[in-house]
Amino acid sequence: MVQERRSLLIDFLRKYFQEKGYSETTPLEGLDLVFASGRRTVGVKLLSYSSNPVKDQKAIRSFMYRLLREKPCDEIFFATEEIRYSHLPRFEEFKESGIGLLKVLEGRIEVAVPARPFEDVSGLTERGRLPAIRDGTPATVLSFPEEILYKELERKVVELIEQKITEHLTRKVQATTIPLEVSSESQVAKSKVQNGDRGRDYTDSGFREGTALQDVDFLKGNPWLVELMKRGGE
Amino acid sequence: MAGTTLDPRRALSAYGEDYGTRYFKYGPLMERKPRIMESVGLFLEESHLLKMYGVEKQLVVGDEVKKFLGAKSTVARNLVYPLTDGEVKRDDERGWAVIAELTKKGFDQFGELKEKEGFDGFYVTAALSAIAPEYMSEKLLSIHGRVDRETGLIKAFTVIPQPLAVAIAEKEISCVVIESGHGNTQITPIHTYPLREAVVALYRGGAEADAISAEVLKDLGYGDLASDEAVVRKFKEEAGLIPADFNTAVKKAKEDPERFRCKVRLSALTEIDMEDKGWLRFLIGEVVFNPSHEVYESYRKRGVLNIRDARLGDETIEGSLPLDEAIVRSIRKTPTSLHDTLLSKMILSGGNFQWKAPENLRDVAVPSPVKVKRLLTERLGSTISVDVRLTQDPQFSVWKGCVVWSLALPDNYLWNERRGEGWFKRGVHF
Repeated sequence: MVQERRSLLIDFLRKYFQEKGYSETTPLEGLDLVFASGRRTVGVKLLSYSSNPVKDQKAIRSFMYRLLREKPCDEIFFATEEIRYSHLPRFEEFKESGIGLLKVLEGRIEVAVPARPFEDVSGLTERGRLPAIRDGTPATVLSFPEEILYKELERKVVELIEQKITEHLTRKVQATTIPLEVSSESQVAKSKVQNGDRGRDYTDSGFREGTALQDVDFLKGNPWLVELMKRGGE
Repeated sequence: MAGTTLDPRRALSAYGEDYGTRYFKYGPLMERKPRIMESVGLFLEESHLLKMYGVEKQLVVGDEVKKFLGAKSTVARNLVYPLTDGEVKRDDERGWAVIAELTKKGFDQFGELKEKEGFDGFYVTAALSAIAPEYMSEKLLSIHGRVDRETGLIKAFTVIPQPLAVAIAEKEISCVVIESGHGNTQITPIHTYPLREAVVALYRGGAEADAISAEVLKDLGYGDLASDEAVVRKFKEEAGLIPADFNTAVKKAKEDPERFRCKVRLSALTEIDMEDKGWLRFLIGEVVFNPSHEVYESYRKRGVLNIRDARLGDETIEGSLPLDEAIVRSIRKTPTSLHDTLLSKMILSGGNFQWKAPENLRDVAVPSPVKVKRLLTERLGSTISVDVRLTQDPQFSVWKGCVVWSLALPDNYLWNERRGEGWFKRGVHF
């Protein structure tokens, strides 16, 4: 049954990329589907979840590192039938890594996070290997041995991810108590609302300088804020 | 989790709309309170005089209507209150035109936000009655799509039931919201989601109390005032009382008429004096809770209390069902494990539960939460824990719930047919 569902999803993905002008090519190790259009290649990895969100996050993140190291295609997408936020790394991590996320629905596919070609991903452009493949030009000479670059890259990615996890956990704690901080003075952008007598200066977060969302009685400690933020992720 | 943090910029773009039968409450969260317009429109007939004054409009809405009120006959023909019992009929073109104009007029007041960097339109949550038919959401979606094409001010739109908005404003995840407005009363159990299959709706509300007030005015000899809607409402608000127990209250009022005597001053020249008929004050309040009481038999015969039944799925809900019976019926439809929690968190909301209970009459006249609690305790027994409270801000709680929804619902949570919630997004749905 699971196998049938999986092949159905693979069919949706095939159709999606074919409609975008890609043709399927030989799959590479670790990827379920690989498509090509001209010299551009796109790889897709279908995600499945276990009952353990932490384990899933770890496995997916580890696979992301591997893809970042190996760069088997110009662009990579993870695809899933259901976006379970607790099982996935944060969307920011996808965005930072350039790896995209597709949500496969019955008959249509939504791009939850768009993929970026690896050569555009910050910190990776000096590698030179991809332009060589893409343009057919000789690879640029690396100024460092490749393994040093890999290690440096891995260190940066690990650092970045650790930083993101810390941010994530900090915000999670804030979200369960008082969900929002208000922008600083520097963010004040003046926007007068019509109706002269009611016109006021608003910060980027919509409130007068020096005031905060926490001050709004019906937001303060409202459990619905956390409840609603979970919507769509169950 | 879809997102464990709120996007602070969303606070600027969270916008709520409460389409009430009498008033349209709307506006962004950043104002903390909604703006209000009367839910009314006036279609202007072609007039040389208006043209002379540069008025080209065919429809004016809200407070602007007052400027154009003319002869009574014209007004009767062209004045449109679009919502009846919280609904606009599917083919009521004029009603929908008024709703569209009210909506647009609301957004027009915030047009300058478009120039603000990073502002890409409002996340709009509209509240409709829990029993509003589905086509109403569809029509509203189409109206908002049109407004966005004209103004570029709506990035995402969704609809939620008014009782859910009340629960959100009251910060209750599991509760029963009993919302009673002018046109209807909705009993909605909520447990993270509204339990739609357990919603019980009654097509009665403030309008029935108005009808009884008008009859009381006639019985008191003020028949000439009974046709003036504003007078009737003022009389209802000043004189109406909720009896703790109807028969006891009437008995006491008849025994000591002076204590229950009530005078309502309408102007410097007009005053209504109830004299020794103070007991009639309880008729006005009791109808909200039990219009099937035998005392209303004569009114029913006269066609004053002609409450239509509601259909919910295969079930018919009698319009005059006592409120406590309706509440119990609703809670019985929820999972058994929830019954006690729901009974212990009941929230009354809407103008039809706002009644005075003067200190000197507290032995017989009570506020609505006390009445509901009393009715339920009588029905279920005093060992059952029942707690009923009024919403803290009856006028604006629906709007507050809407803006919280707009603020916190994840951007990528698109409309989910099964759940009946999620965003309709610009570029995807409209």
